[in-house]
Amino acid sequence: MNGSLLAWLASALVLGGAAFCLIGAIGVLRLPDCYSRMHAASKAGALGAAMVLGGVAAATSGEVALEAMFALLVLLATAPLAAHAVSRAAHKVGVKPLTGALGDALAAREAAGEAAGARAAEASGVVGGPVAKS
Amino acid sequence: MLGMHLLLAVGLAAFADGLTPLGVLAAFTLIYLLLKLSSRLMGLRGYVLRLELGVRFAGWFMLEVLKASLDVARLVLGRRVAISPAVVEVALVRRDERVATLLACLLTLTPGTLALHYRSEDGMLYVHALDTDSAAAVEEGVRRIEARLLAWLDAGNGDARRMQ
Repeated sequence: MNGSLLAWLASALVLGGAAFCLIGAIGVLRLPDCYSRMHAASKAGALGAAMVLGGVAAATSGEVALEAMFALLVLLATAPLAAHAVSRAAHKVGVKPLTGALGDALAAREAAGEAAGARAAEASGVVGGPVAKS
Repeated sequence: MLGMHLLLAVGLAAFADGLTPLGVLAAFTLIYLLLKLSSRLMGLRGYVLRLELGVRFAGWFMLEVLKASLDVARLVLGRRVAISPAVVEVALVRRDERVATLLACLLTLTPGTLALHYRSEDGMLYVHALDTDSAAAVEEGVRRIEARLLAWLDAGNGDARRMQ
């Protein structure tokens, strides 16, 4: 009885996880720009993989539960970092996010900061200073 | 302290001949109950409180991740993908970079938000929201996660310091 319940649980988890991974992939395909695609890839992909790992742990009746847990931890740490790295890199090279009425606060701030920085550099007469430091 | 707790739990499970994940979990819970009962006596209130808040945070966070995925699924599987994204700036309460990193990671996994950039000089976090029409709503969501995270990280700090 207990064994069959675990088998059902494992099947449900693996199937559900695969479905969430599929939704993440469809999201990457359908969403309009790099940033919104990262939403689909990081959230649905992470949950899908976590559910598959849970299914694996249940299918082996807990024998590989420790390994699955470590894999889950690594996954939860890396999925947001990857999404952040990709979206940050895209913003750095100037991919404009597709925005609604609210607009892009980061681009506005960077434009304002560059203008202020240029003014400050002109005033102090050191143009190459900040660039050389970085 | 958590390491000692885990070690005790594994030891107890091995002693009771139940060295399975479920057995370790049961032993962990048992030792937690013992610690809670004797926390006043042994000066472990800080640790017990932190453990409780941590478990509550983990449970809440798992629910949020599930909600986030369902959210994405609803958006993606609709007939037309109608979203209005935005990049919103949120001033963090705590300027600590470690807390900001953790918060950004958690933020990316919760519904509708993605941490885009953090300016350490003025503690501004830039968040990409998938579908929003008000900056205040996004900011309130970030505040809620931040408050929970800080409550957990700060729990029992005063007691812990007194203990050492």
